[in-house]
Amino acid sequence: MTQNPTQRDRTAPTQGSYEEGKALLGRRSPRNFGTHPVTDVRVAQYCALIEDGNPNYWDAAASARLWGRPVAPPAMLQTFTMPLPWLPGREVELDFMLMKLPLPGNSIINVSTDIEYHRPIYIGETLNFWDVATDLSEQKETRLGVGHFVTTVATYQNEIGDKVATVTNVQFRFTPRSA
Amino acid sequence: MTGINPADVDAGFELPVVALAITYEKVVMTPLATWDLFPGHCDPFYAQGQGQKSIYLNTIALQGFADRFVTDWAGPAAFIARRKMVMKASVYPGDQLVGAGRVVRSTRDGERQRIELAIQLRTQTDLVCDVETTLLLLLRPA
Repeated sequence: MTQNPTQRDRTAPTQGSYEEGKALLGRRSPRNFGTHPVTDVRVAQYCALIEDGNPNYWDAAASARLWGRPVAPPAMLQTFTMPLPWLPGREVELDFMLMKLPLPGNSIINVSTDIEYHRPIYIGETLNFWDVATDLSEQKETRLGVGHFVTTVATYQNEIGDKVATVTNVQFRFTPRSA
Repeated sequence: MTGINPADVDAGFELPVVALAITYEKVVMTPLATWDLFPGHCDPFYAQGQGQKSIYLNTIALQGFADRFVTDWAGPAAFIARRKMVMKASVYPGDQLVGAGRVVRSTRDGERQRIELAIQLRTQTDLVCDVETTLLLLLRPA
């Protein structure tokens, strides 16, 4: 399972030096487009995972009465721009600064995620986002290993540019202690 | 699931605790439900190489559970305006994930009540994350 090179490459962060990472602070990523619209099936899969019986996510009419249109769980925001692992006729790439900021350390773990929602996510819309790295720490040592804390700010919107949410994320990019 | 009357919410109120048993099925559902195929959530050998016990839930699953904890109490009319989650530990198959929290502040914001919550998600052994959530609820006509 660990020998699957396709999977390892696609989800691995870009390698480089601290200076190379620092030089890209403030650089905006390309827009990453969700390949599929927000659907009730994906919402049901997600709600079954967390056992969320909120009628907004199981009863379209009840949801529309409250929000004007049926809505999806706000926590699903980032799922709607995740690419499938294979798509016909194209390379699947995670082309945003959270993954593309060159740094030493091949492992990542999320430290904090602060999301401000400007409005609900609606069933039927297709989301996209871009991000920018805004801060990079000096080298730090934690119980997981040695690395850097990277802060990124991502803007999520729908296909007509209607802003949905702003995500400020801190990630630890590190070389595992056991490596 | 009708929810609370927002005008009656006071600081200090403790929300009802919510628990979720985390099994391998739950962790395997994480990539299925979120399309997040980072190997820490689907490859136990990779996860162990990272210093983790096994595959673990992703942040998106924990965010959803934290929101469910809030809306189970507040009801479907609550709008999650902001949620800040600070990760402390991972959640593995075999863990019992428990949400607990309280109202920190409740203020009127025009026709809506702004309710700020301090939440902790824990397992039987660890604090998993600290969460600050702000929700907005339309005030009911008097």
